[in-house]
Amino acid sequence: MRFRRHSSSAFELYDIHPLFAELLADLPRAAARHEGARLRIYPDPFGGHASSEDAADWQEHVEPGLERHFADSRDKVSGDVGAMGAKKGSVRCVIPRENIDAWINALNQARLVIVEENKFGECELSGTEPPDLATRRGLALLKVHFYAHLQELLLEAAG
Amino acid sequence: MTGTGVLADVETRDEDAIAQPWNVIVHNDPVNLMSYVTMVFQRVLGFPRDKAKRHMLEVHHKGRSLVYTGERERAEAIVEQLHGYLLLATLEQAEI
Repeated sequence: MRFRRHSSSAFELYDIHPLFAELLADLPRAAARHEGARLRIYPDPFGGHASSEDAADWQEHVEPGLERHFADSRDKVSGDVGAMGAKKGSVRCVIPRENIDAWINALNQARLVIVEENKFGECELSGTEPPDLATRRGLALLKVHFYAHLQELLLEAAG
Repeated sequence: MTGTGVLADVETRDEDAIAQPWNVIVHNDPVNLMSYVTMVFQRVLGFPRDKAKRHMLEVHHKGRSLVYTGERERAEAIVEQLHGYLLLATLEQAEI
């Protein structure tokens, strides 16, 4: 997979390997699986020391806005990966400049969800051994690394 | 007279609670990238890059970093923004 910037300020991923194209297509779905990672995606802002009134206020007034923000990011990514296609045998995905933040956010959602679902620890995440792709867990770890790599590229591109 | 005295006392305590500063703490997690955390500190807290990086490294090495102390309302707004970026951030009353 390669990465280039268009004169229109859009970013393009091209020569995308079919496996990575599949991981990209799956990004909005993976990012949306909040149920298993709810405590991490919506952490307690008071660290367990809030009055019940403060905790209820936060859930009522803040969390819905965060949910909308996360869903909005996923929707933008969904549109971009939906338009992903092959041109002269090379699979490509164009990310408009204005969608970069949404991508970075959706990639983070997906990574947090996958890490929570698989209970990956710091050692496993920072390990240098390639993941065992014959296992579901290994594939999940590959996904986390691939999304992290893409996030780094976009962070760099966003300046 | 007694009633007025009690009321004044309660009001004073409420005002103290509101005026008491609050801290915003960012906690380490194994998922967020170092470059990402630095960028979020720059955007949300307006830190220059060097300061943002210093706080990011403090989170990474010490497990937490105090990134803001001040009014509760502003502290809550900062935590809300940090949660929007999926950072682990909490509020706690500052010790005076």
